[in-house]
Amino acid sequence: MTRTDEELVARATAGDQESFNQLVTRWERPIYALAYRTLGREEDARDVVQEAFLRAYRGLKGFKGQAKFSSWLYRITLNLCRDWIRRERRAPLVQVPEGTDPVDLADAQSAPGESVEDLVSRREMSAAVARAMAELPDEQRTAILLKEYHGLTFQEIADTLDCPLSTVKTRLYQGLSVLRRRLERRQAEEASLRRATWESS
Amino acid sequence: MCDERERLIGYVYDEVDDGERQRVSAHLASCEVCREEISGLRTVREDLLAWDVPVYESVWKPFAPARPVPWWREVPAWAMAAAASLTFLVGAAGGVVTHALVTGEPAMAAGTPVVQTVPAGLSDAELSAIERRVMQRLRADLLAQPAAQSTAAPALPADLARTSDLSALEGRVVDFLDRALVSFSNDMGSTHDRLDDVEQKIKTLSAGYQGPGNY
Repeated sequence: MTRTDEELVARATAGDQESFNQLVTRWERPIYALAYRTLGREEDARDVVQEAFLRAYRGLKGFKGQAKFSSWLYRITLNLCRDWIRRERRAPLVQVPEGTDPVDLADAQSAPGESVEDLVSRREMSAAVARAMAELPDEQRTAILLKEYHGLTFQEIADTLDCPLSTVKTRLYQGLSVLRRRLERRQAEEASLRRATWESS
Repeated sequence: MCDERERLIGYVYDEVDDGERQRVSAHLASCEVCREEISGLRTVREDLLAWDVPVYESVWKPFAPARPVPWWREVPAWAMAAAASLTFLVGAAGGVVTHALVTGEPAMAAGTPVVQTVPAGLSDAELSAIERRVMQRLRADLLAQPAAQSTAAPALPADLARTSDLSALEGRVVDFLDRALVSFSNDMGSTHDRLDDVEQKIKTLSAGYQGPGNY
């Protein structure tokens, strides 16, 4: 029987550590994804995951269920990421996905039916998105991350970031608009490069 | 409508009520700018899906389930110490009783402590003086007892009650002490003899010893 987050939280608060283990198993990948996309480095993201769950465990008794457990966890994670960025005094890194070399990609795990060319294209797009996101202001990037990759509602994002609903919508719109322009520019540059390569060959 | 971006973003994410959805749809049908805006937002959302996250291997070490605590861990330390002491005493008492049963002697051998407590080197004259003092003390106690018993009158042991003559009792005590003294003297004599033998053997061995050799 699958228990809800609220049930597991109640049991964990009462001292059932196995219930907290289940919460970790359920949420560690989304938390890792959020930390990785915020910080841009795997090692740091893993550290943040561990610290986030330790803080959550220590703070369980203070969690009164006023928000969803996941929203609470996201808030802890984002605070940790913010601390990390402040401590390191640098902008989020952009860790480009490994290997656009066809030899490397031949060993890489690709989606069913995906050709090497498709895989290369997907990797390049992934790197381009990562770069474009890293250049966004923190608040816009965070709003987009929570909306696009974690499916929070506007209201949940507002609760997590502790800001008005209208602010969330504005940040999303502005962030997506900036991304759109950058990605369109990149695609135009790539098209130009391909055309030049084809003409020279 | 074209300046109200928040309404467009709600429409893109489908977080509007039915009335709002119908109003935006009606507007898009007639506004080329907003249609293009909506299309661009949907495209960039699709692009965002390309951003992969590396494979994650869990770093979390699950909490081990709580082990059941053995019942004896809940016993207080003082109770454990008391139980251990009691066990030791019972074991020691059992050992003493067993030893007495096996050897046929009383648990506390009467002769041994007497021999061990007599100071070494007492002369016969000193032993005789001690014997006299003991005899005088016993005689005085036995003579004083009838007077004390006239009021308190504790019952004498059966064999003593049958012995009406205190002098006879005194004689038995004196005989007993004499035998004990003779036995003790004999034991001391044989001990001296054995010590003399050992001393003689040591001298013999010392005389024949030439020092350590080369092996």
